[in-house]
Amino acid sequence: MIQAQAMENATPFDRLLLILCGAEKSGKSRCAATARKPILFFDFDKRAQSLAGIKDVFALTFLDEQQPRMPTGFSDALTTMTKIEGGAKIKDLVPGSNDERRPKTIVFDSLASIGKSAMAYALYSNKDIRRELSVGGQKVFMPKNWDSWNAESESVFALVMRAMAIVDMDIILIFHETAEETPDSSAEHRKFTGRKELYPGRYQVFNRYFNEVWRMSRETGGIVPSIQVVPDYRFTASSSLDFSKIPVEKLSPKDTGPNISNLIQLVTGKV
Amino acid sequence: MPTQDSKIAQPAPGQLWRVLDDGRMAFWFDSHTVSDFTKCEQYFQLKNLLFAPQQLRVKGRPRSCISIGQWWSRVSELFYRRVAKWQLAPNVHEKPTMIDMMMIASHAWIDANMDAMEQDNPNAYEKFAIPVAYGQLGKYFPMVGEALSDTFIKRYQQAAHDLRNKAQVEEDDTKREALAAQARRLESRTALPLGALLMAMQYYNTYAEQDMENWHVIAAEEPFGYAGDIKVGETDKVVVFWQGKPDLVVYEKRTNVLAPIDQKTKDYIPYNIEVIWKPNNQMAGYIFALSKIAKDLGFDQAVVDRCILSVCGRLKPAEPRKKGASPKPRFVRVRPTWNQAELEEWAYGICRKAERMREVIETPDKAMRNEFMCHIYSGCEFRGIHSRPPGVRDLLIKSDLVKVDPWTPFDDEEGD
Repeated sequence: MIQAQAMENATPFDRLLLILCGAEKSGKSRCAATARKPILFFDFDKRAQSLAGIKDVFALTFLDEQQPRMPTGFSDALTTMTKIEGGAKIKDLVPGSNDERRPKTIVFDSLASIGKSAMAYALYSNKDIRRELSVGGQKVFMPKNWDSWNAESESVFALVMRAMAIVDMDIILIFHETAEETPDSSAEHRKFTGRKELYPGRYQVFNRYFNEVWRMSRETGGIVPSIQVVPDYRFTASSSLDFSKIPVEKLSPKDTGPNISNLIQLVTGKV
Repeated sequence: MPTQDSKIAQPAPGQLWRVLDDGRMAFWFDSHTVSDFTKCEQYFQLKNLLFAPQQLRVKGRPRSCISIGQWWSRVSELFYRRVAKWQLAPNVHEKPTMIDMMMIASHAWIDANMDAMEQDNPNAYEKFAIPVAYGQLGKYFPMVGEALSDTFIKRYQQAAHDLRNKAQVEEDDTKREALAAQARRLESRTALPLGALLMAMQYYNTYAEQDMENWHVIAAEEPFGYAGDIKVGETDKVVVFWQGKPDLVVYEKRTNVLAPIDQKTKDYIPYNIEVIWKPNNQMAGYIFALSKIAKDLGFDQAVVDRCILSVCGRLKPAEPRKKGASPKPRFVRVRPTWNQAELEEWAYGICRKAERMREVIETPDKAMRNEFMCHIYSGCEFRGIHSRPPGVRDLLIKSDLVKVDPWTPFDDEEGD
C-alpha cells in the first residue's frame, strides 16, 4: 500500500508523535492532558488522580494483581489496543461514558511503568527467565538474564508500534528522566555529565520514530512548570516545528503552563 | 466475484485444489503447504504436484528434530486433554500430576518408536534421550523411578507383542521382517530415555500448575477448516480456504483472551527468541481461524488477537561460562499479537500466493527455483534431484524418493 502526499502542504502536526520527559512531579501528565482531545491515558503509573477536573481526558488505569495471581495489566492494555484498532469509541473503552468520539490522542504514562508491567507478565509466565525470592511468605520475581529484558522490551515495543500504526491518532510517550553518566562512570564511582537523558534508557530507541522530544521541568522555580523544545546543554530536546517565532512566554505561560493544543495552533495555524 | 461457499463441496482428504464451475481454483491451504511454496516453487512442485494428490518424500525416517517435535506435540496433546477432562469434571477426574506427565511422556515415546532414532542418528539420540540402564531411573526420580522403569519395560513388551501380531498378518516379506526386527529390538531394550522424562518433568514444574490455574483448555490437537468454513479470501482467479490443527486452544480467564498455542522445540533457546515469530503464516492463520470460529459460535466477547508459542529446548542448556552467571532458559513462552490490519494483510498475501500457485499448476515451467533454500541448514531434501541433469531425475525420483499420502490436519497421524 502506498500513501502519497505533497510534503510542501504537510505539517509535522498532521500527526503528533511526542516524547515528553521530565523528573517526577514536573507536570508531564498535566501537560500531556493539553493535547488534542479527546485524550485517552494508558495509566500505568496509577496517578490518574493528577488529571482530575480536566475535560475530555479519559484514563484507563492498568493494575497488576499481586503474587500468586497472574498480573494482567499489560495483557489488558493489549486488549484495549485491539479495541481501539477495531474502531472503538470512548464509550466502548470507558464504562459509564456516552462519548461517541474516538480518542484523538493516546498517552502512555509512563514507559517505565509499562515496562514494569510487561516484565511482571513475562516473569510470571516464564519460570526459566526469573529469579524467585521469598519475602515474608510472598514470592518476588526478578529478571534472571537478558531473556527477561528482551521479553519486556519486545512487548512494550510491539504495544507502542501498534498505537503508531493508527495513523489518525496522536501518540505521546511519557518518560521519566535520569542524570546522564559519563562513559567511565561505575557503580562504585558515579560520574555524571550534568545532562539529562530519558529513563528507561532501553526505550530511547523511540527517539528514532518520534519527531518531537520535549522536556518538562520546574528548574526555573514557580508553581507552573516550563517546557523545553529546543536542545541545550542539559537535554537534547528536539522538534521539527519552528518555535523561533513563538515568544518564550507563550511556550510556557506563567498562569496556565504549557499547552500542547495551543502550541500546535500557534505554530501551524491548525487546530 | 462472490461465491456461495456452501456450493463448494468439501475437499477429498489431502486435496490441495479443485477447479470450480466458474473456472476459478479453490485451494485448501494449511501453513505447511504455504511454507513449502514460499520456500521454493520447484521444491513445492516436486513434493506436492508431481504425483498429486500424493506427496514425495525422501526415504527413511524424518530428521530427529522433527521426530522429537512430533513426540512432544503428542505429549502436550495427551496431557492437556487430561487437564481439560479434569476441568470439566473435577469430581470425577483427578488433577493431572507430574507423575502423570511423565507416564504420558513415556507412553508416547514408545508409541512413536522414538528409540529408532538410536540407529538413524545415534548422536542426536544420545544427546536428547540420555539413555540410562534399566533400574537407574530410581537414582534420578527416587519416588517413582522403579514405577517408571516398570512402565517402560511393560510398554516395550506390549509394543513388541503388538508388532509380532502385526507381522503375522503382513503379506509383504520385507515389511514382515522389518516388523519382527523392530519387535526384537524392543524386547531386548535395557536402556531407558532419561532425557525425555526430564524434559516432561521440567515442563510440568515450569508451567503446569500455572496453566491449570489460569486456562480453560478448549481443544488439544483438534483440527479446523474441514468443511471449508474458514475462507481466507477470494479473487477472480482463486478461492482460498484455511485448515489447521493448533496444539492447544485455551481461554485465559483473567484476561478474557482466547488464544491458540503451539508447542515448538529447538535445540536451545536462541537469544532472539522474542522476535522470530512474526511474520508467521501458521500463527496468523490460527488467529484468523479462531477469531472466525469464535464469532460464528457467538463467542465474540473474547479477545482473539494473540497466540502463545511455548518453546522448549530439546537439550539441557549448557552451564554458563562466567562464574555467577545464570544458565540460559530451557522453556520460554512468547506471546506475539496480530491486529486486524495485520490479519487482513496476511489474508491478502495468502490469496496472492494462491494465484501464483495456480500459475505454477497450470504452467509447470513457470515454477521458480530459490537457490538460497537449496543449501540452507543441512540442505534441501530434493537437492540430490535438482543437482543432477534433467535426464536422470526420473530415475533418481524412483529410487530415492517415496510417495506418501499427504498430511492433513484431519489425519490421526501427527504432522510437524
